Amino acid sequence: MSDVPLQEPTFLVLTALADGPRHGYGVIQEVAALSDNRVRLRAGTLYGAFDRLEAQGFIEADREEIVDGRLRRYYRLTDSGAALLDAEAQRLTRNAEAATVRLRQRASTEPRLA
Amino acid sequence: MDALERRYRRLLLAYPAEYRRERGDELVGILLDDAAPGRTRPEWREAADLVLGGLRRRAGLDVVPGLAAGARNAAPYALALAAALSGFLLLCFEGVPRLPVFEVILRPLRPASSWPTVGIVSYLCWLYALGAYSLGRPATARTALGLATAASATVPLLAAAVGLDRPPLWTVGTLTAFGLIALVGYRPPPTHQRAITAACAVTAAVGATALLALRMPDRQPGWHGYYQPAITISGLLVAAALAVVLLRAVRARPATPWLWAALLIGLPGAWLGPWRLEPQTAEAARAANAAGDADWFGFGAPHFGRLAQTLLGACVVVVAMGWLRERLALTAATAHAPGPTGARPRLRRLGRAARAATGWAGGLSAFLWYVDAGPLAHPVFAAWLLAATATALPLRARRLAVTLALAVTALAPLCAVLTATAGPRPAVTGALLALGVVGLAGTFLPPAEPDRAGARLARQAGAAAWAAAGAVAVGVYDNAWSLRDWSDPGRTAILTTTLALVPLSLAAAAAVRALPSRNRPLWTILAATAAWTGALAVPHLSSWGPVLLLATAAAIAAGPLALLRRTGT
Repeated sequence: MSDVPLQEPTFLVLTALADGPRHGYGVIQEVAALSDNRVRLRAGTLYGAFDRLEAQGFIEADREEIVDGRLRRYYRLTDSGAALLDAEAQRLTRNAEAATVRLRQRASTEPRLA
Repeated sequence: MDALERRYRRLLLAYPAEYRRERGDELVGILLDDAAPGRTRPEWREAADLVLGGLRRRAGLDVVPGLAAGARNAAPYALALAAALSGFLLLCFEGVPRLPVFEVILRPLRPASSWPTVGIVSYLCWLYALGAYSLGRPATARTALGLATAASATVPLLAAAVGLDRPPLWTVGTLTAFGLIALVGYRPPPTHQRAITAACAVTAAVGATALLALRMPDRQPGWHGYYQPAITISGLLVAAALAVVLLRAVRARPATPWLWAALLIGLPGAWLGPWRLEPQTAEAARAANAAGDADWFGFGAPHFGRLAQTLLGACVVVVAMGWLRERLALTAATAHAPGPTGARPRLRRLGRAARAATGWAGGLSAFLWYVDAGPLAHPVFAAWLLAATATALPLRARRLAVTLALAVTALAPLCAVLTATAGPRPAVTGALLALGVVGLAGTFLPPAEPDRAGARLARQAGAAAWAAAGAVAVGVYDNAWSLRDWSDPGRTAILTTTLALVPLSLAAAAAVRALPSRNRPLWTILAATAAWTGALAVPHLSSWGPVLLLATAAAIAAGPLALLRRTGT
């Protein structure tokens, strides 16, 4: 099983593949968009992540096409990859909710200036 | 293909050829898609990322189950060990001005003739790295680790450039390898881990100094500070850390990441040692010979020296890594396990590794012929050179050539006895016989692709070239950097034949990866390797490094432990 919690780039790669297969460059663009250009994956790093996720059975190769003479291989999320992403998303949601609740409590107990 | 694509393809050479064939076009496509218009050279960050990605792939970090977690587990140990060794060597073995408070304790321990080496630079970098790891931010710690690793790796170059002495290559190599582990496995540590790592490093350095103090009273003549006792004590430190990691592997569930951590620490650790040094001077050797203890100058039995112990230690760890990797690939839940699966690809890989042994025998023979050929050795060396080149011939002729070489090698000592002339040295005969048996067994295994005469010859020439290059490097190093006027040809010959441990271990590793199997050539290869390695190493237990001893003990204990686990006791 993979390391939980997931590292952010891994989480974003899985998220980029959640709604359908994408090729490598598509994943790079999608991850940049999802993270407001904060996470900019490079090809070597991305393929390291692909290798790891593929070896663990979370993603798999989908189809190939050739665009402008360049080979594009599409990857898609497997069922166990979707389950992993779902578990991680729920974990993050719980954390975020807990933080929001605590912050609300803090706002209500903080002494106000007269 | 434009300039940018060509440059990207050159960078992709960092990846294994198999991976390039499968993913190369796809990766180049992405890189070109991602490049800014009009660019002709890769951005340096992109280039560094590709090279690192290729190296990660070659090491199997992303695909071998548990290996990345193993590197993370091993990283703090590697850093603590590198820093402890640096502190210990800096304080006890370098002839540098010291603080008076240390002088009171350390002066009696230090060998009389200590002088500064360029090792000081890397030692200081390691102490800084430990500080940065314990107190600094992650970016600072990473930079410091990179700096210390680079400083350790460049020590030999620096020594040559400034004309100063350097610490032994074993020490430098160990520090560099620990640096790579610490870098690859680095994760920003929690506070308690920072404190524990620093405390362990300091304790280990103090412990090493105490060991030095304990062993000093019976200091033998000919002890050269850096080689002995420094390397032995360094080996003991690593063995102690390794024992802790192995205990964690026994207790942990799953054990795999800790087993990987143990193997990662064990690989450079195996380069340190041995406990007892072989006699350093001719006089000491003669005395030891008279006592029936050593055979370095007597050429009686095969010799097991520092090179042999280092090679064997490293080979044992590499074989264990291959075994673990294959076990994990077999038990992996997915069909996406790395490497070829199924019996036939494994046997094909074994065949390739085994047949290379004939090439190694040819390469070693070429060198030995040049250095140390007695009258009866000529036909032996000639037979092995013929056997290595016969690889271009059809299968039966190849088998015949290797069998012939084996027969000549086996008969040479007999002829020596009958004619009362000097035959080839036992170490040479033993190594060539072991290589030959493995090479012959290889011809009964599936051929490699492509199985054309030219391709076979190229592979065999490659193996022979590795052997000859290794032998030249070892021989020249042993002969005060000269290829002429061999001061002690017998010693050089024995030293270079220990290199046979490399192809034998590679074949053994491939055989172990193909287990369980009923394949007869496979068992022949294992038996020949074990027989020769055993004959070489077992009579010289006191010359084994501490890590090799511990690894052997752990391997022996692993069987009963696994049984206990299975029965749930």
